[in-house]
Amino acid sequence: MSTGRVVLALIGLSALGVAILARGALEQTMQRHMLMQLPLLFGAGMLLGYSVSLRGNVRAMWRGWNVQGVAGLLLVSGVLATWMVPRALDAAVEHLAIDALKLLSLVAAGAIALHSWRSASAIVRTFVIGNMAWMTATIGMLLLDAPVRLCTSYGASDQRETGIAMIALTIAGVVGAAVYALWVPRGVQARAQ
Amino acid sequence: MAARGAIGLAVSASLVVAMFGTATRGFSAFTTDTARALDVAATPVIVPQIGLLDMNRAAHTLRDDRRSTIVDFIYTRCATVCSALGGVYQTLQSEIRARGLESQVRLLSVSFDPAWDTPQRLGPYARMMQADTAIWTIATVADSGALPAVLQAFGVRVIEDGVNGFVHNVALHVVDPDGQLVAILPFDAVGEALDVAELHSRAQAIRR
Repeated sequence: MSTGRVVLALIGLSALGVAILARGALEQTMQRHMLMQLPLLFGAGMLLGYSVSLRGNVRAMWRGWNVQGVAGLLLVSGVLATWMVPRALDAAVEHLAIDALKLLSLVAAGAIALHSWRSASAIVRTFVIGNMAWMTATIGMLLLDAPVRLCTSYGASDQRETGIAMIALTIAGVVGAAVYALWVPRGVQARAQ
Repeated sequence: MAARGAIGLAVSASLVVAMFGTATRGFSAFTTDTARALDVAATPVIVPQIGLLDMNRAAHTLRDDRRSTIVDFIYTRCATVCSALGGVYQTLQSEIRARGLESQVRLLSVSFDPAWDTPQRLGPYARMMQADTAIWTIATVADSGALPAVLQAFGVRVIEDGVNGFVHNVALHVVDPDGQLVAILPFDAVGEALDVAELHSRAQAIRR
């Protein structure tokens, strides 16, 4: 394994450690829970996934079952959508076992996302980005506009602020993806894979 | 090759449906409150018997008599949702009188902040709310150790808001004369709460 991969895997493990050890603080507000802890877990999964190379038979199997990464990316979207359900967030705060499920599913989703993304064509990637943007923007607007508190664990102002932040992050993400696709030279993109 | 790809996609889609379906109680509830209300409507829950004290230190329970009880959970220092809930309870009280339901339905406001809401402090609050003690009991728990089990049974979650107050979910909880929680309704569903409460009180009278 190259030094770069070891370093990235260590960063991933550290992110995982932070997400677990700072559980109380991260889950105290909706903003930290949804916009810091969930991305930390997903990012840790991506970094850990990066340290694993799919070679030979495993690679052929992966390509066969997960054509163009579509099955994997569908699963990843489902995991992300599930942990944006207010009831699921409440359950994760209240029950340690559910929080453990959240951790495992998001770390796995991060790793699956990374490897599926590599086998996905431009069309699939564009679809996934568009779909995620639609989902996070809708949830952001719901959180911003809801007349009642959606999570029993979090207050109304926290909910509105989370909504605003989700909409802002969606716009930033879409603009970032467009800039990357349109203006970053193909050669640089190829090396980044 | 193509078959494996299709199976992979089907497995993935099934997992997504299973996960999302579990999180949303079979695609029926996105929030904990909705799920709890649906659960209770499907299967009534026997609520724990807890000792309550009103402003005169008189003892009460959640099932004092043969009436149905509409229960809410408050703390008297609350300046936001509890005052709205207080207004709803005043409406409930006048509706009970208007419909002549005094022998069918009673109202009970339980404080989840017994450290502050002592019986002495409930007096001024009850007077401010113009609570008629024959219809509306405002009470605090006698033993604060019993509170978590009660809040759990009613699906009420109380969290500190960081500025010396609490954030809590508000609803109208209908408890039938047998002490079963039979409905959790939105806090402004005055008519529906009275209908459900009256129905259960009359049904129990017939059974007896």
